Amino acid sequence: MRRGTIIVIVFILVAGAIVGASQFLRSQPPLEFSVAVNPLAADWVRAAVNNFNASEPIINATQRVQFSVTVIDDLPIWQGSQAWTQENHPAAWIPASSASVSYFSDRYSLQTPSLARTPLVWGGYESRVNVATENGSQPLDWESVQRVAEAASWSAVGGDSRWGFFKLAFGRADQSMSGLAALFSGAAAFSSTANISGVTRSNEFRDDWMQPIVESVPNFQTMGADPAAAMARGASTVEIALLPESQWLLNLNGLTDDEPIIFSYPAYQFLLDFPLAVWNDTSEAAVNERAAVTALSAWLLRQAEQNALAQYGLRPAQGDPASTATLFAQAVDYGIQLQPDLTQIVQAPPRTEAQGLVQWFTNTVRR
Amino acid sequence: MLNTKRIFLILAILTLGILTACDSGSATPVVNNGGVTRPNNAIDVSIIYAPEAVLFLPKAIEDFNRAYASGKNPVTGQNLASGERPIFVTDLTNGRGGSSGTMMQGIVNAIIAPNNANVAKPVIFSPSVSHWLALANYQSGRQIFDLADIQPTALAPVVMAIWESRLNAIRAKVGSDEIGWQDLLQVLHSPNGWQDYGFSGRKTVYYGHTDPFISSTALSTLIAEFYASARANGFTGRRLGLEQVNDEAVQQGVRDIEQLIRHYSQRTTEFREYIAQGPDYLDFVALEENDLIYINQGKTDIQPPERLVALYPKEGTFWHEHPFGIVNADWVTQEQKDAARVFTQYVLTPEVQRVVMEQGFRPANPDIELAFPFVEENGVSPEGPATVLDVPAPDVIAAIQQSWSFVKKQADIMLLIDVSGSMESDDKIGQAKQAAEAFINNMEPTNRIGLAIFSSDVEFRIPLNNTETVQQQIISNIRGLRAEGGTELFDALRQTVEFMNEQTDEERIRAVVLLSDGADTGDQGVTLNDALRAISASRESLNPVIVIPVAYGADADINALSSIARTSNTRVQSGDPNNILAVLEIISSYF
Repeated sequence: MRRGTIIVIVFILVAGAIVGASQFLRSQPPLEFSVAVNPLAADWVRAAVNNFNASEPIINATQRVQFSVTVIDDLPIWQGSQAWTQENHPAAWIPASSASVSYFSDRYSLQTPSLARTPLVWGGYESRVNVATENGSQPLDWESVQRVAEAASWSAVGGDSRWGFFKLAFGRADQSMSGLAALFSGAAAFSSTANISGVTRSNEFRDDWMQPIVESVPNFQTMGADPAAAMARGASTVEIALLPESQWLLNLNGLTDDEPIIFSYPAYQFLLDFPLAVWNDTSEAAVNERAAVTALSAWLLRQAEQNALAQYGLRPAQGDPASTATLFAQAVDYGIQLQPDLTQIVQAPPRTEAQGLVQWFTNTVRR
Repeated sequence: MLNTKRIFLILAILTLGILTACDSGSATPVVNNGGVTRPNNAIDVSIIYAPEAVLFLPKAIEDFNRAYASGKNPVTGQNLASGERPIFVTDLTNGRGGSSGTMMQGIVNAIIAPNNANVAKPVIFSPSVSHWLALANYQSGRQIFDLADIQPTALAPVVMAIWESRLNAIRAKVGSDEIGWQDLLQVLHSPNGWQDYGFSGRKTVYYGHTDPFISSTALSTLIAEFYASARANGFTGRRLGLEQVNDEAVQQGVRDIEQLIRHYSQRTTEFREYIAQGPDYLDFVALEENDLIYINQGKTDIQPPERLVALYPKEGTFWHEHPFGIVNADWVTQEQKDAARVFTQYVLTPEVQRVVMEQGFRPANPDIELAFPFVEENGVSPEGPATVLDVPAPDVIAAIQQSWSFVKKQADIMLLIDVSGSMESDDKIGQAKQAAEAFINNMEPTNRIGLAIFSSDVEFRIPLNNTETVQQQIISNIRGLRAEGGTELFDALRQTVEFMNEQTDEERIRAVVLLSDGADTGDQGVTLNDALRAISASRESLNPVIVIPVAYGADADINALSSIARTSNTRVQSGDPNNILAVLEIISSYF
C-alpha cells in the first residue's frame, strides 16, 4: 500500500474517532445544575454562565454539565423562607456577602471567598449634601446623616423649607443584604468599632440612633429593587442614599441630569464580597455536583470574566478596576474612587443578632 | 495509486465533511405567519396589568415573544445559549388591561378564597402603583409580593388636570404659582364661585375622580386629600397614620374637598374622555400625567377646546411606577420567577423605554434622557412634582379606602324610565328592568334614590329616600313595569328636574338618569325648550342638577337627548338591549 493511501486511511480513522467521540459526548444529556445568585451580581453571573455553557464544559473527563441561573437575595435564604432540600437545591450559591454563608452554614459551605466586590457608598444631591455636611466641614457619613434624620425637616438644620422632610434611601434591611449591610455599617459608626457584635442589640443604637434614620426613608415599596434608579427621579423622591457602589454606577446618567451628585465612602465599610458556596454534601452522590461547581468557580475567576465585572459596576475579586473602566471612570468626578480606603471593614455579627436586627427593622417599618 | 494532489483534495473534502458533522446545529425557530407561536419548551409567564399600560405593554409582549420564537434572547439580542430555554409571555387581560384594585383582589382571592368568582393567578401583577402590592400583602396576611424586589417600569406622577385658564385665574387670585387643595376649595367657598375669578356663566366647581377601591389614581388622590386635610388641621408629621385618618376634623376636611365633585366614575380612562369635552363639563380631574399628555396630543375622541395643564398640588402627590410584582404563590415556580425577571429586564431596555416615553410616561430606566413629549407645550413640567408624599403603611391605606363611603359626596338620584309601548319590542323593557335593578343595587347606602316612569303620563312611583329605606320597593316596582302608551318625554323630564331643583340639600350630587327609546309624542304641550329651561334654571346654583340621558335603542331621539346633554353639560350614553346592563353599571359608578 502506498504511503499516500496509508495517510488517507489513517486520517479517515482518526477523524472518524474524533467525530464519533464528539457525537457520543453530545448525545449524552448534560448534567444540569443551578446557581442561585444575589440580584446585585445577577447580570454578570448570567452572562458568565452563558459563556460557560457555550464552552461545553466537561467534568470528570466525559460528563457534560450545564448551569441555569436563579436570582434571589440572601435574606430569604438564611432567614428560612426559601426552603431548599437535598432533592431540590441550587448546587452553587453566590450571595452578596460571605456573612450569609456563615448564617446558612448547615446547608452551604464556602468554596470561593470572593468572585466580585462592591462597597457601600453614600450618594446625595449637592444642595442637600452641603447642608448635611455643613458645607463640607464634615464628611458625608453616618454622623451628618443622623443629625438631619434626627431633625426630620431640612429647615431645622438650615436647609430650604421647600425641601420639606428629609428623604433618605437604602435597601430594605429585612429583605435585601444591601439594606442589612447598611445597618451593619451604621452600627459600626455608632460604636466606632468594626466589631459590632452586641452593638445592634442595644436600644440606644436601635431606638435612639437608628430609628430616625429608618423613618427618614419615605417609601421602601415605591423605591423598589433599585433605590438609585428611584433617586434619579429627583430630590423630591430621594435626596441622600447609602447603596452598593454598583447600583450608583449603573444609574449614573440619570442621577446627574438635574443637579450634581456627590459620592462618599463610609468610614466603616461593610464590603459585599460575593463568595461562592457549595451545597453541604460530601457523599459519593454529590461528586459530580461538587465538580461542576468547582468548574464554574474556576470559570468565574477567569481573567475574561473578572475583566467583565466592571461593565456591571462591580470590582474584581482581587485588585481594582482599570482606570479605563467606563462606569468607574465617568463617576470619578463625582467622588467615586478606583482605590477607596477599605481598611475599616465591618465584621458581621452572629446570626442570631442579625436576625434580631432584621426583626426590629420589620417592626419599625411597620409602625 | 493516489497522487499528492488527489490526497489533499480527498483530505479537504473529508475535513469539510467532519466540520459539518461536528456542527451541532441550533434550534429551529418556530414562527407562525402573523402571530407568535409559543415554542414547545418555553417557560410560561403570565401577566395582568393596569389599563394605562395598554399603551406600551402589548407591543412589548409581542416583540419579546417574537424574539424568543426566532431563537434569540430579546434582552441581549444574541442567539439562545446552549440549554437556554425560551420564555413565552401571556397577557391575561387580552390587551385591555384591568382595574388595579379588581386585579389585586383577584390575586388575594386566589390565595385565601379560591372559590370566589374573581380569582386571578398571574406570574406578574403590574398595577399602576405599588400601593396595591402592599395592600395585597396586608389583606392576605402573606408576603405575596417582595416589596424590596419590585421593579418600576414606567413613571407618572398623579396630577390635577386643569384648564389653563382656570389655573391662571386661581394663580392670579392667590398671587402665587404654587397652588394646593385649599386654593381649589376657595373657588367653591367664594360667594360667586368662578364668577369671582373672572369667568361668566357657571359658578360652581366641577371636579372628578374615580373609585379608590378600583382605581389607582383615585386611591392616591384620596390619600393626598387626607394629607392636605391633616395638614390644614395641624398635623406636622411626615407620614399619615391611623390617628389622622380617624380624626373627625380631618375627615370633614376631606368631605369639604369632595364637595367639589361633579360626579365619580369607574375608570380614569373614562374621565380622560369626559374632561376633553371642555371646561363646561369638568374644571379639573385627577389623572396620571400621561393621561394629560394623551389629551393634549389630541388623542381623545373629542378635541379639547383649550389646553389642559398639570397641577402638581403644593401639598404633595405620588409617583405611579407601574411596578412589576412577581407573585409568590403555589402557582408560580422559581423558574417562572426567573423568567419574569428576564421579561422585566426587557421592558427596561432602552428600546422599550423609549416607547414608554413616547406614550407619555417618564422612563424608569435612568439612562433614557427625558425628552418629548415632556415639554411645557404639553402642559407638563419636565421637572415633575416638587413634593412627593410618604406612602402610608398598608393598614392606613386600607383605613382610607374604608372611609370612602362616608367622606365621598353623597347623591340624590332620580331614575326616570321610559315605559312607552315601543319599549316592548326587542325585549327592551326586559333588559332595561334588569339593568335598572342592577343600578339600584349598586347604590351606596347613604345615597338617596327615587323612581319615576313615563309613557302617556308621568308618574312618580317612589319619591327620593335613603337607599336602605326604598331599595327593595324600587326593585319591586321595576320588576312590575309594563310597556304601553305614548311618550311624554319632555314633560317627564321637566317635572323630574323641577322636583330635583326643589331638593335643598346643596351638598349632594343631584342627578336624573333618563332612559328613553323614542321621540316625544306627548300631548300636554310641553316642549323640549321647556325641559331645557328647567335644566338651565339650576345652573346658577352651586350644585346644579345634572341629567344623564341614555339613548336606548336605534329609535331613540338622539337630537333631543343631545340637546338635553348639552344643556346639562353631560354626554348622551348609548345603549341597546345587549349592553344596557353595562351602560347603567358605568353610570352607577358616577355616584
